[in-house]
Amino acid sequence: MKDYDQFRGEEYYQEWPPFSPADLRRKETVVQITRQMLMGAMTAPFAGGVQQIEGHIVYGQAEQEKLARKMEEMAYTNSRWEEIFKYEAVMVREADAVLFLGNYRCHETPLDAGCGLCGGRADCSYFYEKVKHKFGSVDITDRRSETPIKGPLCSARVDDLGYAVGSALWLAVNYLVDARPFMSVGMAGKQLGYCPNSGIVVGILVAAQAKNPFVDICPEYHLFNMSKIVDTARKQYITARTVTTFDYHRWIPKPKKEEESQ
Amino acid sequence: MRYIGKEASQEHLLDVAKHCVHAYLKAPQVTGHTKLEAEIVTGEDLVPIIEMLGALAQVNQFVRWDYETFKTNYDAGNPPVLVLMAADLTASQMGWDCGACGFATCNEFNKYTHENKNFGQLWAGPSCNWKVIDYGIACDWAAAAAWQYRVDNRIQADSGAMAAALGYMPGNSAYIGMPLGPTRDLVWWSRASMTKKFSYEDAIGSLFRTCPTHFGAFPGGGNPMFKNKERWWESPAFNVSQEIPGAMDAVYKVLEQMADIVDKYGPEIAKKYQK
Repeated sequence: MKDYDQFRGEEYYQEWPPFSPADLRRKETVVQITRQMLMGAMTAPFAGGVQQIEGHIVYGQAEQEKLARKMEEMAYTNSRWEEIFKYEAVMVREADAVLFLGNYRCHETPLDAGCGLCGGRADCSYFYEKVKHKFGSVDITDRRSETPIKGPLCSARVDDLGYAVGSALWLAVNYLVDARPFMSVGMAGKQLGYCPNSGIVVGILVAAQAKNPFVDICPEYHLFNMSKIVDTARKQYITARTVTTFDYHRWIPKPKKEEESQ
Repeated sequence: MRYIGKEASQEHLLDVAKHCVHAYLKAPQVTGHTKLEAEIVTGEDLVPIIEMLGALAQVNQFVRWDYETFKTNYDAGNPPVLVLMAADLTASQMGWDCGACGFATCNEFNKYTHENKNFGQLWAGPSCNWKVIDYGIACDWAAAAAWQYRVDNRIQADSGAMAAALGYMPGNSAYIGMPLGPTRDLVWWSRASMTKKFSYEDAIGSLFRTCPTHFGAFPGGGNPMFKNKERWWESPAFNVSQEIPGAMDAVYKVLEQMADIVDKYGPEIAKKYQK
């Protein structure tokens, strides 16, 4: 109990400048909320109540940069992905935390209920005819794939992943923290090894900033975003200062009227 | 003005259902292309769905539990309000070529689906898995909205599938039903509606069938005894896997009954969608 005598202090929060102690304190709080979002995902309604979700939380400048670069690398592997992946890589850099949610049963231990969602059949043949298995036990050791995701997947399990993502997003909404789910972030995260046992992964970006970094995006967003604009302001202003140089100890230029009155 | 609490809370379920539909339609999406539809079914309109569940309940334990809960509460004058949520998940406009469906490209998937779209036991497929995630997020938001108002609810494939079979919201591939209420503690969990509806032997027999390895004796001999009674070593039983001819006959009979129910109610429901 003695320790509580020292339980006192003050905490200053500000989102600018980025990665200042005040901003990192803010980011740390977002990470705490992200952990609670993950707990919400764990308790989402699942078919038969079966546990099937794994989660990974990623934060920090280096980690987010690594993820963003992976997305930019993947952007050039599919023309339909290019703009989406490049734009959303910016959002990864601006996010305060990244939550990955994956389903570790969808490719290995399906629901086996013949629901029809994966292939439109009243049995699970669509799935089992396309995967390597013995007596319904799927052999996932051959992880080679020509596509980013090795399908087919049990869509009933994938549906449950949706519920997990939904519960995580619902918790974020209740905290008035901005969060959105992304295919691109999930695909890149999967390639980087996050949610290592999952057949499909969704990436949720989380942020608590004055402006939601995941909406109201302009064209060519990978070129015209806050980080780039701030950087060009630094570049332009420095030069502007240099071209009108003077010694402010001796003379400071003033509007003509003020100079005449002196 | 004076309101009776029980009646007011029953009426309130419809307001909550509207909140749920709103949350469902407003939920965030990964694709931005998933089109969602919803309806709210109350009162007498629940009867065809309950009858369909009743038929299927004869051969499916999960469905039986849902059927009994619907029926018991409906008969007692406290019907749940049923939120139906549907979406067509069988086409991909995104061109992401992710491979999750089992095809290398979305074009191949769309071509296959165009020619092979069909219903399984519950839903139609094949499905784009990213749209499946959108659908899951949306249904989850509906359930979370209900819980925000502290209304007992349950995400159900069966009531959704029965509504689909009757003709509700045609043209979609996935259907979920979510009953709300009636207002009291624990309607759809630890179900009071199942009181004395089954025996101890039914419950234990269900465990024998669903978790047979739990009741296996020493397996070293290669054919372990099955511990299905107190003195299991006397007149031993064995857990054998064998095909039972005609095992599906009961299911086919039930499907015929369900077809009759659809014939009875389907035309009236279809009229709702005539333009």
